[in-house]
Amino acid sequence: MRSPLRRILWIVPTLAAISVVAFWVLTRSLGPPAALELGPSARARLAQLPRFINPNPRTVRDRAREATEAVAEGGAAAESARAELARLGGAALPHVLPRLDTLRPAGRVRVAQALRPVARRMGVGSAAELDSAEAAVVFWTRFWQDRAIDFRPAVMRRLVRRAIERSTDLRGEDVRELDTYALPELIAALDAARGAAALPVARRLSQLLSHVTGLPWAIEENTSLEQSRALVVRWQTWWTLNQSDYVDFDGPERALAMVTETQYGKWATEAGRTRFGTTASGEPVLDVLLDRAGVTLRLLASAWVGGYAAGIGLGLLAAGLRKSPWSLAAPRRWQKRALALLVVAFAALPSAVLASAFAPASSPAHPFRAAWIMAAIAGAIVARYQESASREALRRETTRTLLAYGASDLRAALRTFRSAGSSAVSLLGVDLPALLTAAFVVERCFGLRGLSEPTLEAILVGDVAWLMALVVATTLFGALAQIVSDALLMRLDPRVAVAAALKRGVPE
Amino acid sequence: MNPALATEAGSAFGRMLSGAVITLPMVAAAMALTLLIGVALGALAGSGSLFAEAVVARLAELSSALPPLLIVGLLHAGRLLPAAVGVAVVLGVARGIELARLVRGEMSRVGAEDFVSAARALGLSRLRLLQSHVLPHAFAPVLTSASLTAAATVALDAALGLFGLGSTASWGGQIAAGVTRGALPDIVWPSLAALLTTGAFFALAEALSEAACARRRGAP
Repeated sequence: MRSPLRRILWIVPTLAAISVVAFWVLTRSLGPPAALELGPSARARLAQLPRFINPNPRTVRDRAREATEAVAEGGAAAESARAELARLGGAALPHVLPRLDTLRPAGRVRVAQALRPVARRMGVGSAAELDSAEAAVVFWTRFWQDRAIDFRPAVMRRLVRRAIERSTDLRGEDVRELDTYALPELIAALDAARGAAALPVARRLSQLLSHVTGLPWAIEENTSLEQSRALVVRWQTWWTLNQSDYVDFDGPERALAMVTETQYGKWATEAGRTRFGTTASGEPVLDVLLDRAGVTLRLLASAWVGGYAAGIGLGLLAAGLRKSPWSLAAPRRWQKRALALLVVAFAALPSAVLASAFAPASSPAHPFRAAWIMAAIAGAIVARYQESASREALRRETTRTLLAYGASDLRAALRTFRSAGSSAVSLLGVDLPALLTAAFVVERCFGLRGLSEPTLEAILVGDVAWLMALVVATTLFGALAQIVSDALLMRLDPRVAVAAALKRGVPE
Repeated sequence: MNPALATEAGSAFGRMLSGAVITLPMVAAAMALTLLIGVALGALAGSGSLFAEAVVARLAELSSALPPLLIVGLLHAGRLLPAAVGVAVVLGVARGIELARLVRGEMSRVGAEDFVSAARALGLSRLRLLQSHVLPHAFAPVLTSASLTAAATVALDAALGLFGLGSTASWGGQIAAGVTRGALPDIVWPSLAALLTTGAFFALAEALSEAACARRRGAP
């Protein structure tokens, strides 16, 4: 009992290690993962991040400082720096306004004027205060003297919570005046607003988010529940990607950001936050996976149950009825040899040939025929192993003694099953990839709605989120199959369990 | 016989012959890798080292998490490797790890037999024990698995072709093209060739297994 339990606990680090390797392979082939609905800019943004470790994660503090310096200096880079300051918005103010006094007068004026779009978005300052160079500097200096206290996490959280509890224009304005500084709490509140009852709250939050970011993803009065969910997922995905532009990391957060501010970290965060991310068509990956996995799992189950039962039976029969299909000198009947050749044929023919030969020419799909094909493919391979192991067992001294006492080959093969069955049982855990490939082929030939279609699409469009989810699912499934396989192996031959216990130093 | 059909069958036969230039080296490379990785890793895992056993178990989990179809498809889509090379390398490694697990299982089974305990009691070294008593008895499933690699190579190649991700000139690619277009000769000839190739490897594996068994029994 302890061994399976230990193996189950091992799944967690194994899963983490495999996800790292798989992520490396996938991103090396397909490029960085990105929520495809956010467009190519999201992918370009992710491509700038390191894959696994970011020794120096950039936050709003770094971005605001660089933009402020570039704006203050003037020159060619000033234009894009002004746009960057406008994008960073309220979140940049705690890092820009306290430094205004340290800048040279000309630079101070340029920075104050660059913040004009932010002030308009926040709804603060009149045209006279913002348009004139000198007045803008005075305005921002006074603004920070009066309002610096609002740009603290506790105050921001309170203001957002109040705006959620009761929707009034005044409370909405309070949040709008914080601009992008309120984003972490707005997104957290959106995460918590689930279900139809929370739709009005989600609507209010999305409108505030849309206002401060300028992104067109507000939930309107006439937006359906499904569309609203998709928009919420889109906001969450956007936040996973852009969070570090609007927050600053300190202490342990900064250490954690060395992992989270990477391509892998972004994928893992999005996987946890938004049901394994979104597919190329914009649906949550986990929803599509659960919807389509049924067909593929049924095919795999028919391969394991039907295939193993038939394969072990056929293998024993093939080993018991004759010595070898290739020893032509042996006086054997043709039908006995035909059985062995049938096993060889099924094991050797590509699944594409078998599936296309038995697939219906037109719809509707035939799930039972598909299951039968899967059982035949798996059964042929198992039969081949079982036959080989049983024939080996028939050559042992003990079995030869049994044969000398007059037992038939078949009876002797059955008697040796407990020790000769280990090859076939070992296969249970390891032939999942081959069976998954066969299942994909069968789905394709039979037109079944399984995992093959989205997987192919994911390979072609570079949907890393889907492929990572598939890898995680197959890892879990494969690990569980191997645990079952090992448990069966020990059950079949108790000496294996004793040997394993001795290896671990457990007294016999 | 319809002359057009005969011409089509003839050209499909020709394509099958030229496809052998791609498929047979692919099969041979995959089998060689399978045997090399499988026996080396399996012997290491079955030698009694818990660390080696854990490494093989983790590798097996990694291999079962990344289906060869996915990896070769990605390598081909990302233009990192030609499909035929990808099939040989990825399948060789994946089946090698699979074989290692099988070898480990067999070695666990054989290691528990009385004759191995007797040999151990006689003071044989671990290496000698492996070489003379354990590995020869795990020979049959090793050869069976290696011979099945030939079938798996053509099957994977055909599956990739079916999804538009593989080589079109190899037997697998021809089968996939035949399945897609409904052209029977393009399915039959490469399938027959695959069947004969795999059958030949099965026969070879069985002959080697018989020979090894006869040698163990001291027969001439």
